[in-house]
Amino acid sequence: MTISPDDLVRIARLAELDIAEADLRRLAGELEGIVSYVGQLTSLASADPPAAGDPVGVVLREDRVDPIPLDRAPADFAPEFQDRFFLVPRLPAMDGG
Amino acid sequence: MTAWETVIGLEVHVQLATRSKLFCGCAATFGADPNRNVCPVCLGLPGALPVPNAVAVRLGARAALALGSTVHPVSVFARKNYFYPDLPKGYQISQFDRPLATGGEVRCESPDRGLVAIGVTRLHLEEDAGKLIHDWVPGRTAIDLNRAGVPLAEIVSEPDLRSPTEARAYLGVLKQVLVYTGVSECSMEKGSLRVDANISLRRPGGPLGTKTELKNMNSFANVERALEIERERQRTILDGGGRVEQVTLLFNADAGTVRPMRGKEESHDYRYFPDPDLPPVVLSRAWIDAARAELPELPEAKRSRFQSAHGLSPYDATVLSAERPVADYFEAVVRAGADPKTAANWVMGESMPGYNEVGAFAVSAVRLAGLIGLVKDGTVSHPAAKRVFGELGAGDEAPHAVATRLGLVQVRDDAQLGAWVTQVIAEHPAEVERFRTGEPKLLAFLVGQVMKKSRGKADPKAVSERLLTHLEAS
Ligand SMILES: [Zn+2]
Repeated sequence: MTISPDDLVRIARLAELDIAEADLRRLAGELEGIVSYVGQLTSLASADPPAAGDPVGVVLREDRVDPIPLDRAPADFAPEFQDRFFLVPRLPAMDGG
Repeated sequence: MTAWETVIGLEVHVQLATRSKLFCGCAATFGADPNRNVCPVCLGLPGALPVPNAVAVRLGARAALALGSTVHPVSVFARKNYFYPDLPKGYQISQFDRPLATGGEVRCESPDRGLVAIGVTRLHLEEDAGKLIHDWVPGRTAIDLNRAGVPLAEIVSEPDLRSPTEARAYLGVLKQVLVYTGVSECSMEKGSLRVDANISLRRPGGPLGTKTELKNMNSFANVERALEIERERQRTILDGGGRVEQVTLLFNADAGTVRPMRGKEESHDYRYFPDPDLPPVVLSRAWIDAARAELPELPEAKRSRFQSAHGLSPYDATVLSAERPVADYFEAVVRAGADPKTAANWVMGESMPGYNEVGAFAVSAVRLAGLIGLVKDGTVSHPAAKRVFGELGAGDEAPHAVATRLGLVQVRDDAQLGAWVTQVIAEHPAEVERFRTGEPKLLAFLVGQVMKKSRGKADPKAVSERLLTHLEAS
């Protein structure tokens, strides 16, 4: 699979990453290397998947208020926390909503 | 000017009435301190695993069944990936290509087309995102994640609606069904119901036009308004030979305008894929049947039964079946022995104002039936019974006891009535004469005089009969 600089720009944008023009070609090559490395898996012989019977469903939990306690208070692990709110830089893209 | 046909579809998100969130044990209640209802799962902390809430699945299925949708034995939770600060995990757990349910319809009354069936495309489960407050701290966005992970059902309609008014009617019926079935509180104020609308115009029968999406409406009335405004905007563009651009628009209720969201958010590529942390939701035939059996009688069925079984007018049946507590109360009054039509009048005229104010009935159904019985057997007059009703709410005294205490039990004592009648005839010779010479309306005046003498305690029917006997005899 080939990854063009254009593909890379699009992937970076979806990941909200800013990538310098100068790095595009190098990163596209590296990403292509990663993808083809993973792609080797398809060349492995594998046993047939188990015959489709009734699928095993997810186990549902009872509707009980029983939260897993936080080890540390939010203020301790949030980069910014004020009056019980997490704070992040305001992005221009947020003007919409 | 050529006519355009309006095509509208709605996406409605309702909060499922669970105690806890969709994938964790945090409380799903509204109004807690910010970031109080959070845990490693809904904060998206590394290593935390989601476990779906059985009641959320059941309520979603119940909603689907109430709408006549097909609940699928296998549905799949998927990750909808996007970066936004209200989404701690970087993705929302939703359902994509295998939703909980598909198909179904909402029947509502269109002002132009009569009863219309609006198709339901799908109903799926998903978690809500957090709440953002911009510029509360300058240059910062504040995040409250109490809502993150709250269970929602998204109900998508087919583009079957043809006017903003129909859209509002659809929402009214949908909300009624969801409240009736206990699926959701459906309160737009509390954020437990949200509506996004798609609208486009086309030549009647022609291909669909380019649609725009409307967001940020905070009431059904504003959904209708926003759609009207956007319909006008599109019509003006098309009539001028222009083209409608596919955009998401935010409604501003104060200004009565719609304005586009910033373009960047438009080109979403959500890269859906099945959530590897969550095996499929598998529901057995028996489970689905049990969910169906749990359904209460729905408003539409109740409305027609109130007409056929209780002989109510369509209007009365509609009012009394609109809310389940009212319908149950009305039927309890009837079960306690009241005539259905009389019970309907009392419930609508006397009980409902109080119910609408405080959300509960002050006078129990049995006591109201007792009071209706007192009017029927002539113990109290209708106006007196209304006064008794006012008193009933305050305590648990029996209706008859209240009527006696207030001195409202009607005098049906023949001798007493006879005495009042004789006095009134003697005191008003002129009116008596006019009645006798052909002015029957004077009877009402004379009845009124007797009622006055009795201080309202006489039974007006008995008075009238007695007066007639006297006037004709002498
Ligand atoms: Zn949680």
